[in-house]
Amino acid sequence: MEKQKITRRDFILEGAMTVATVQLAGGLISLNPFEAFAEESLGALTWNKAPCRFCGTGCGALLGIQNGKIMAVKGDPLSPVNQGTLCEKGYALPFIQTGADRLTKPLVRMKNGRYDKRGELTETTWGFALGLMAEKAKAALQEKGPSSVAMFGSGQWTIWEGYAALKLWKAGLRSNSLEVNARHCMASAVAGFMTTFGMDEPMGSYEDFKHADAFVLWGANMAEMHPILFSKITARLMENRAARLFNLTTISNRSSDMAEEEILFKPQSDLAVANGIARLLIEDGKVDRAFVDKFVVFKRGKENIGYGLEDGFKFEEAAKAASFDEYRAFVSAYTPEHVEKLSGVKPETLKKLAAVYGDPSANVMSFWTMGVNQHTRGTWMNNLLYNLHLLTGKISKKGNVPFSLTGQPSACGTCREVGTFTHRLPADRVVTNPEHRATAEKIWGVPAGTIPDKPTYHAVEMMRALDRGDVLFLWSTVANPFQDYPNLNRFREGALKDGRFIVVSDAYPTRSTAIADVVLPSAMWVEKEGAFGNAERRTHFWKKLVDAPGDSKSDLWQFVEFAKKMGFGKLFAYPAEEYPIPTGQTMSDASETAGLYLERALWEEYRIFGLGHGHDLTEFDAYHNSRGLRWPVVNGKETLIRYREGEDPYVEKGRELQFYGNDKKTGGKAIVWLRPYEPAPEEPDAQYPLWLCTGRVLEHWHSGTMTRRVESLYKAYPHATANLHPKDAERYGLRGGEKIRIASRRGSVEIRAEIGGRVTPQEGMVYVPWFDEDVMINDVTLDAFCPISKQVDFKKCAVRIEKVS
Amino acid sequence: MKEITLTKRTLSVLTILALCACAGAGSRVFRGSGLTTGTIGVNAYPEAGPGETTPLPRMYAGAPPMIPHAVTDFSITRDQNDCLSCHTDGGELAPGHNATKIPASHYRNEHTGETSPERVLGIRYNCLQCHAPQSTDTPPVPQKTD
Ligand code: SF4
Repeated sequence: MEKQKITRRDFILEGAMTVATVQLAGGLISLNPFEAFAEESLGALTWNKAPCRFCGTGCGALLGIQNGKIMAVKGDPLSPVNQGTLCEKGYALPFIQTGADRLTKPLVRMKNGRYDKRGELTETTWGFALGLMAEKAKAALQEKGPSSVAMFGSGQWTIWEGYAALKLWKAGLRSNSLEVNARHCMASAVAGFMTTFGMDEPMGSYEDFKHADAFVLWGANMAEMHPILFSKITARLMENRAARLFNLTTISNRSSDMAEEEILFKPQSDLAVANGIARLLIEDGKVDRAFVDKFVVFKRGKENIGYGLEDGFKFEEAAKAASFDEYRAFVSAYTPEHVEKLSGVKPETLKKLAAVYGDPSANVMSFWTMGVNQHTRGTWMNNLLYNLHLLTGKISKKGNVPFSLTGQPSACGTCREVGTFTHRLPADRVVTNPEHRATAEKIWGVPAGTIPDKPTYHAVEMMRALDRGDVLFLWSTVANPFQDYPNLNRFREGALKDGRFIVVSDAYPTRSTAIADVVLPSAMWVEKEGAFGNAERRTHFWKKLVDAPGDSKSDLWQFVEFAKKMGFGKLFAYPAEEYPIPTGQTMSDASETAGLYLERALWEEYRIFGLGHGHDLTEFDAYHNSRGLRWPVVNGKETLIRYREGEDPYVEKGRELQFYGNDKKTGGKAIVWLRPYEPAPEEPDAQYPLWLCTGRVLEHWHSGTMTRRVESLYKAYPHATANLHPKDAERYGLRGGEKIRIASRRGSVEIRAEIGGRVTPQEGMVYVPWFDEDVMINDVTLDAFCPISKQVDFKKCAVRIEKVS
Repeated sequence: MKEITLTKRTLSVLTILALCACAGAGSRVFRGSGLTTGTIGVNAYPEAGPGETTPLPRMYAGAPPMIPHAVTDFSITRDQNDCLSCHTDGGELAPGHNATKIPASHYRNEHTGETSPERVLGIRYNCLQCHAPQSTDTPPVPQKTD
């Protein structure tokens, strides 16, 4: 459908006055729409704080509760993150738990009164569902060993849920087959931090926005994906006319509206652009040599590292020391002309960007998320962005941050800090390190040798193992793998094979519950007590505010009860006198069943891992009594700028700057990596001539499970459409609204074309968001990943399109 | 305001809704999600321009009003914000058009206490991050009614 063009001029000339009347539907609020809203009517509500359920920005919300229901929400004025405002999704929070089709009973696939993989999902009791799960898990342990029992969790787990899952899996089941959807979202960021600084998560905080002079977005449409952080950029641009914003992207998008320049580059060529900027910095004498000599070393890793497309793919890095001169020689290949050939970015634009990074008086913040992380060279790309900040000394200094944004509300707090990955343990520890395992075994009070010393399956390999029959039991919680995974046709079929037992815990029916053998109804968000950790290292807590419907139970309750059935109840037994239930507080189901304050007990145990280890979290109540604190929290003080003397208590006196995560490796210096441009595994060709890029839209969270059940969000963006460049539309003879088929070597979807929508990809590219259950775009995507981080590239594969008549 | 006509599409959505309702009530069998409608939809927004529509009801007291008119070609840049030209107090086009007035919350940062009497605060400047045009589609899964 062609959009009607309405210009301001038309409006002035033709805009006839309309007398407006307000139509009121039942239950909607009567108001005079022409006045600012009379807020007095909100006075009858009880207001409680909770972080927003959605993105990694981590806004604070105030929820107005009456008779056990959330009636309204406001941005929390006391939260420094969002300062009294929220985005569209945040304002929809009162409705995310109240879709009419909430799951309220455990369901098991039954036929003739017994579990049957080909049966129908049938309501049952928790006792029956958990008993069946334990039976199947024990059978799998016997048949194929601990690695065949797997859990797939989430960056939307509360911190104690992630911690309980980790403990249950690694200390109870003795299985490292634990992964999270954050592997698809943040693994390259983690690998980038670990390889460059030896320690995960950003050095700066949101305080830096107001001190920055230039913002550079690298493949991150922040205006839609991190709206409140984009509003912080906007605030800086509006108050300081000299501040600048550059939007480097493969798709023309809303973030460009506030930018000085939208810089389009071809998919995968960001590697060349970053190296090209580094080359110019060196050639133009903009490198801060004193900084580099003192705080940086150079290293070169393996090249031609593959794409992980084959089952059982293995990669091991072999890093060699390099010198500044070798580095200079390495980047010298990336001349502006060469970069232009690879990326399409004009030499003068590249020079402008180099001048921004190279200006010694300008504070620069770079931002990235999925464009850089969901990349078959994602770890490299993270390294290359750190290179720019390290060469110029623009790091760990007010307003100077290479800022890796996070997607999920607790990808940092739960997945990264707790370490809910196959290879990890809390506070940046790994299962392959005997000291790290010993520390965990001691804290957990389990015998030495309990934690297996080898990682098993990262997320993609876990699904491949399920297909092959190496994983027999898979429990997914707070995730929707059968909509979210790439190359879904293979994995869906794998899950449906005989002998595979799939459990899905969720609040709503999804594409994953449709495949599951057992569906467990989950209590969500403020139906339980929780903790998240956002993108600026802020840990924030909330209390249980409303009851969950029916028999829904929190994941924490589910994990503890499953542990009991498996004989690992001891792992979650704490002395009730040490963790008494406070009077007058509504407790979570998990605490109620335990008869003690389980969240507090888990927290106090968990934080031992980080104390004195660069990850200090403070005692439980401090978080309930504040709007969150940024770790390391030492002597009650949060840390805003890490690695800088005087700001970060871990930096030794006289060091000025100490990247102490690398103390052992490099004596506390950061690493500039020599990382080349390498092509994507699948590029457009004669048969499949277009790039496909997938992603999100502002209104919808991930697979849309919550947001598509809220009227305002559904109506704002009901369906996924295929955004096309007008020239491509012309080439294929397509008009907006026409149905097309997008096909790759792996599968196809039908979808409507959209031209001139919210985003416009460059020529030769199509963009499809993945929130729509009716458009399973992941049937089309490719399961290639970054060999270092194992994170999938959802942004690039080759497709063809055709009109469907 | 234009009359809403039931198109083939809205009818098919209604049929699906009816089917969902039947399967849901009292059924012990549960498969898939009501969000899987089998409809390959297109996003259609109001075509009427500013001043030609009536405000939409809000979700709750204090909810940001959704946009009842088309915003095609609207521009929100550092130098120009087409939304503000009607919705601010001093907006030249506002008189006679009954545009919903931007409330005081947009001029005072409740966290820092900073005020910006002349123009809405920078953190409130990207109107479309909270306010969005609404399509005529109905969500296939309604909210609980109790
Ligand atoms: S920006 Fe993110 S955290 Fe803030 S309200 Fe929006 S979705 Fe929630």
